[in-house]
Amino acid sequence: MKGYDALPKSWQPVLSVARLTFRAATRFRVVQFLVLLLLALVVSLPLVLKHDGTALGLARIVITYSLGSIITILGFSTLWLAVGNLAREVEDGQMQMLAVKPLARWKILFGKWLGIMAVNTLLLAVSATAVGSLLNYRSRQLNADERQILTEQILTARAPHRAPTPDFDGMAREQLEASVAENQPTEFDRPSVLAKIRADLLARHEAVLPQYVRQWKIPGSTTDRPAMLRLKFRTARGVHEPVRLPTAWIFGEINSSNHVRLEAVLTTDTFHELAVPPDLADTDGLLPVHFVNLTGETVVFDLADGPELLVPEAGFPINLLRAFAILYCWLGLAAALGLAAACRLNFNVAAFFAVSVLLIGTFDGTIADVSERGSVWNIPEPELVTTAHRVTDWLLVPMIRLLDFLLGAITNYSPIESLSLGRSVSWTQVAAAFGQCWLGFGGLLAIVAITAFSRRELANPDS
Amino acid sequence: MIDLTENIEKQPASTPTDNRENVVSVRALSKVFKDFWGRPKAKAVNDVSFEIKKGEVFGLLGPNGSGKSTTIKMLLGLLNPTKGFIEIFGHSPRHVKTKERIGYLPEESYLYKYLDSRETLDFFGNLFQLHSEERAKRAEQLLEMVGLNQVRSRTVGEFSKGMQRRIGLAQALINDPDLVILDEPTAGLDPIGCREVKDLITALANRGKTVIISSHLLSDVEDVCDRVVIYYGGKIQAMGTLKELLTERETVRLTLPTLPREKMDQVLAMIRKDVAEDRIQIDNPTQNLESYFLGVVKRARENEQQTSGATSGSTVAHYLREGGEEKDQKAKILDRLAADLAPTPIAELLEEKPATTEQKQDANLASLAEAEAPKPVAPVVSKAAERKASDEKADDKLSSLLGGDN
Ligand SMILES: Nc1ncnc2c1ncn2[C@@H]1O[C@H](COP(=O)(O)OP(=O)(O)O)[C@@H](O)[C@H]1O
Ligand SMILES: [Mg+2]
Repeated sequence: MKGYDALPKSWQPVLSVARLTFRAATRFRVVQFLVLLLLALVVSLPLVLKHDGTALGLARIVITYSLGSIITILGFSTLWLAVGNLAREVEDGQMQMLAVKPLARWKILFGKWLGIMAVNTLLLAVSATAVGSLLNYRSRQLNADERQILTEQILTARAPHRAPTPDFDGMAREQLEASVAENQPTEFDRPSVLAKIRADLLARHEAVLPQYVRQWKIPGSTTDRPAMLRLKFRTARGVHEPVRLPTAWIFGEINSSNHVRLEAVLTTDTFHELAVPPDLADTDGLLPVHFVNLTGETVVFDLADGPELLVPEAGFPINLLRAFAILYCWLGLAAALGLAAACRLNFNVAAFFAVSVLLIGTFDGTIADVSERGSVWNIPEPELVTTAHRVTDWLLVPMIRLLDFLLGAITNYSPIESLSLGRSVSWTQVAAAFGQCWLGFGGLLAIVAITAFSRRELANPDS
Repeated sequence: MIDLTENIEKQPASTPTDNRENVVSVRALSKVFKDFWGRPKAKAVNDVSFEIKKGEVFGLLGPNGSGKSTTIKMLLGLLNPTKGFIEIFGHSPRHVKTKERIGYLPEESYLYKYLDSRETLDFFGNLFQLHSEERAKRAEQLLEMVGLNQVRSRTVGEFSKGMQRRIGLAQALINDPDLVILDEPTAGLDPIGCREVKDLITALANRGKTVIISSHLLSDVEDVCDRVVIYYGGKIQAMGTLKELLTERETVRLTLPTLPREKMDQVLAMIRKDVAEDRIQIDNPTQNLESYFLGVVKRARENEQQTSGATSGSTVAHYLREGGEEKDQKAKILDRLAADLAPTPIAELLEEKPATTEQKQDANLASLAEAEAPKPVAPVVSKAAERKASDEKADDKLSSLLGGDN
């Protein structure tokens, strides 16, 4: 290829290793197979998935499942490709030819990584195009109303804004100090009292009693087009059956003339999106949102569930691109992991190792539970805990906590949920994901891999 | 036979005026392969030292499993020495820049099976940062040289072993290296290919390149090498120029056109006056490295048994059992020797103390007969042994040597 002549010469060896790696994947039909698999998957998923019958529900589930399966398939294929390509080359001896050429060993690894990422770029581009076109095609099959809902709520990129969370810890401490100053208690269990005060404050914050009004002041309101208020609430009864409740809302300052009233019957324990007209912000640029509890029940807005003001900031294609950028970032990490494993281990062991790591990733729910509970056992009565339990916990929990931390750091930026909710995957998130995955974990893996590979002896016992 | 130690000691003395650049220096090099637990498994190279000067063709000679490839892989930085010092062009074997000056043909063809021959050469050319035009030009010439320009669009995976060998040789030369390291370059090549490789080596040497070739095929080494080391069990058993190694100082050989029978008898009669009958040897000039080599290895083997347990015998034996290819007869002798087989005519021959002139004559005559009427590989030496049993007289041999007509 003449193409190399235009580039700085020192790139030439690295790029030709990358090209060779890409070529190996195409010559062995891996790429072709994966393209077909991904296309078949994206097209066929909507046919087999169960959903609530609405266009919105279908679109949501299509996005969630297709992105989920794309990242799973590509995660495995990337690991496989990375481990296989490097380990095979070492075991079959081609690496002996490469290693005696004038390119440092880290450049061999880097070239291979680039080649694998070239494969991933291609596969992700195909997948993203397929997902995008499919959604586009489906939305055009809908009637005008449905299509508008879909375009407003999913096929968009909306930046989320929330009212700031009060500093419950600080408030709890203040209250405790005040109470201590007043009552002069002789002896008390400070942490548990603090926790109780905090829980009490939180409950008051989340609950709205009958005939009361609750106000949030949410930043990021719009001036030119409507935004959506995404929210979910429940009753304090603790009944699990969802019920329908009449609700009343006032957007904008109640005292001024610039406000809008809205009444709606909404189901509990379900997310809703309410349209908020533009230009209702107060003088501080915050949008006052009031919930008027006209029911006979106490209504609870869990802190985690909003409400959240979703403000359109870009189109769906951009959002899809950013979501796929984060998937790409994950795949880069998978490729580095595979290569690092194969730097030291033979093919079988490396493949086993890499696949186990991926599988562990799928248990992140369990891992999160264990690390939060601080024990691998789930024993309700403290007196039933034996030494054996304590020893296993002492051994396992720190490891699981570390795993949880690592997994959390990676999956924090999961773009899949955001994309399915029409919420923006922001450039900041993309940058943070790359920073953490590539510069952080990737850098560590690279150091491990390069050290191992540079020391490795590349000779087989021959004949 | 020559005294080994004497030869090794002679080596430095014989090249005091040689102030050419040192391309390779190896001092006290050892390699012990360890198993997973770090326990020593095989001592592949044992305290080896040598130097290779610019422009030399240097041969590493030794039976299978004697440590030739291990030495080469340490020179190339593929294996880390357990002990010792290596310098190539004044740098460590891991120095990246130095590798621009080295071309390497591994002992097996480790090629990318999904590339065709042109793509293979292009790929390796890129690793040397060659410009596209230069790559194309060199690839063209190399393919021409190794005789693969007809099949350039077939993938290397479809090539026969010999063809893969040729493409391997081509890639080793893509960077016009100053030091060419060829590990068993003729393995798997047809006789023409072998000849071509040797011609190539000579051509490289004429251009001032340094060449290291390892081989268990004596003819490879003898035809092209300036200097050789002979390995056995990871140790250097002998080292020097071929001349130094092969010259027997206490004997003289007259080489002259074949004389008529009665002239020859006259000459012999004159000589017999001063020299005892059994000290006279008559033969046609022939390759002598083989017998020399066999002697060296035999002694080394005897020593080895006394000192330490053999380290590499089993590897070689295994290899031998598999070897069913069109191998050189000499290679077979060598292989069997190392295999330590149950007594065979060869073994018998080798078990003899110092080879007597008569036996030597026998052997040489036999090989001569072979050369005249090329036959398949009826074991040369066993024929010699038969003849020894029949106890023919020297005169009879002479007559057969000179042809029956006179
Ligand atoms: N990677 C390796 N691991 C363990 N033993 C090895 C390895 N490579 C070579 N050996 C052993 O070292 C010895 C020398 O091998 P080698 O250098 O390949 O011999 P040669 O090239 O002279 O035929 C043999 O006994 C061989 O079994
Ligand atoms: Mg070898």
